[in-house]
Amino acid sequence: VCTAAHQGAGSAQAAKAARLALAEAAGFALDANPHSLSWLTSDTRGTEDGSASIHTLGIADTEDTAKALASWIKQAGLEPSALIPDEVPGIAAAVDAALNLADGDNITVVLHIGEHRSALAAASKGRLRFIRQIAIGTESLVQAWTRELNIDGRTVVLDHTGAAEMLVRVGIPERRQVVDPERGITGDALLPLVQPILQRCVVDIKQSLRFGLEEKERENVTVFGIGPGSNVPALMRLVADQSAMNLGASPAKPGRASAGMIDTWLEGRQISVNLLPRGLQSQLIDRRVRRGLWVGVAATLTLIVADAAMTRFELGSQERAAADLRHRMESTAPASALMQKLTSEQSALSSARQRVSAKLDSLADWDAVMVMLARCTPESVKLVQVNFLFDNGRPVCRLSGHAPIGGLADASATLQRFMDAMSATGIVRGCRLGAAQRSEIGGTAVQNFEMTVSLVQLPAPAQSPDAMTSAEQAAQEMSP
Amino acid sequence: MSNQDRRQLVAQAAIGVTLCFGAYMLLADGPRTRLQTARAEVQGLQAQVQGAESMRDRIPAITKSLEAVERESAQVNQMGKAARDERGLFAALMALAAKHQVRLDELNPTRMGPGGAKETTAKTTGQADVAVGYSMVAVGAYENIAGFLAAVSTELGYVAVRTVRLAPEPNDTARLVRATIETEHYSFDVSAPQPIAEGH
Repeated sequence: VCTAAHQGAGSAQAAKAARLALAEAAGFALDANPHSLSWLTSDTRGTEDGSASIHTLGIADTEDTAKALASWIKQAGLEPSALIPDEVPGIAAAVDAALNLADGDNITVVLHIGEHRSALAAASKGRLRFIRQIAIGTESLVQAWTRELNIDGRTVVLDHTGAAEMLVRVGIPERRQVVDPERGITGDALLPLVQPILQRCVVDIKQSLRFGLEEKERENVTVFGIGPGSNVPALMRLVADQSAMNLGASPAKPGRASAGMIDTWLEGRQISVNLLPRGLQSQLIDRRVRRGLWVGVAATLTLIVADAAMTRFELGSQERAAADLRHRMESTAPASALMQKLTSEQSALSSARQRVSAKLDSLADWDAVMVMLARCTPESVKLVQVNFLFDNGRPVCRLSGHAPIGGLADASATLQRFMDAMSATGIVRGCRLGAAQRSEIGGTAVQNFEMTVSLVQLPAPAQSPDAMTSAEQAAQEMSP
Repeated sequence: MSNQDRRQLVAQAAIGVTLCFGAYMLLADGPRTRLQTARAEVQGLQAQVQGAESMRDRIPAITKSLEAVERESAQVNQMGKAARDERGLFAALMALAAKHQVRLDELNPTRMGPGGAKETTAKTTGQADVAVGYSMVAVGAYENIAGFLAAVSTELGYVAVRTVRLAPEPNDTARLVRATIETEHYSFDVSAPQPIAEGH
């Protein structure tokens, strides 16, 4: 069954429509019987209203028939791989030829005359107009000529080979044409036998044209003949004349035009249809899967072996490279060791510097403070206690003393001058007078005071080993 | 395809996969692993060799730097020598006192940490640092005490004078000063850490 579905519906819908049409035409359940659907062609151009079709070929047969055919093939010692109806090659060839030959607006019809069946396809403007099967082929004509012939009261019977040879040699004879002088066979004797067949063929073609084409389109139709029957002399001319079509030159290649269905199938487009029995199809699939599996395993093993070989090769080169690099490394070992030693010692020294800084960052130059006190302390002020210490990490100096009251100098003014003098030096950050108490010392009135002097935090004084050496030398001199 | 066919197919597929896997493990996996290791080793060695070869040209500069570092390390070491040698330190303090005409009435080591008079920081830093503390009472003229303090601060290596308490010497006619001084003496370890022996 050949069905056409609108392209807009999509290929899935086209297949669904073809399956429905096939089920209706087959008259049996498709699921339980072998059947097959295949894309035939898609129109490249649509009709006037823009619609283009997808054409699908559907075939089906009963399981019993398929099994019987497969059984015959097996009994002949062969293995069936596909069962394809003999119409399929003719249909595919007719469709392809019609679409290829279609030129402009004119309708091109291709008649594939096979041995048992024929296919008629019409196309125009890249669009398949129709595809019909005609149940007549060259074998129909040969069979007709193997019937008894009445030649002037004699009965002549042609065997199948003789009839076939005569058909190919003479074709459709003229009424008075002498076909076989020896046996006196003329066209008069042969034509009545094939006339009904030819008439049925022409009627089928005319009806196909009438139902498949518009009346105006039928006025200028060119028919081309392909397939084994197209080489039968005068056959295509007769069909064209009787069907009111122009006969085009045969487009097919010589080999294909004269060959049978097998050559047509092998040379033409192969359509993936198959009517193998379901059990056999399953076995075939199983066999293919197994074959694919083991081919895959073999391919994988080959790849693994190749990969292993390449890996070993690369491994060898990498190991050689590593050995070479190690050798080069050995030659640079002294420099590396030296660098490592430098890095290590620098790191240790840096760490030691950090620890020195952590321990000795808050130092004070106490002797300088003592000098500063000696210079800044007024004559009248007596210091009774001086403490140098660190308060919250900052160096401070706590003073206790007394200043005389009365006389030329006021105690407060004296202490203020004392603090001003200390503050004016660079090492004092600030002075704060603490508790002050009046008392008498040796019969003289004095003001006792306490004072806190905040000192500037100094960086650690440079301590050179040379100084240490001198200290050591001094120690040695002192030692007995 | 019948159930038996399916089972056979699955079994054959399993055999095929096992065969492939086994072949891979037998033939390819080991060399691949070794190849990856070798690639990584070559990559590492290339970087090392590149650095080491460029270093070879800088040996004089490295040697010079190393000498400078060693010199400085020796200085740090030398500065901490007093803290490591208590007898020497004691003698040095006495010598400085004598030099500056200061009388040392007392000279006692003091506690510097929970461990006692001497504290090392080896446990916490991995370095064998040493710290020693002293408390001393010095009697002398004010300017001599100042000179003594200056000498202690500058001539005994890493020293921190933490506190100084000055007071007039009682019942003294020579205007002497009594100074109570607390000092800390440090030694810092500059030895490079020893590389950890392999296998430990």
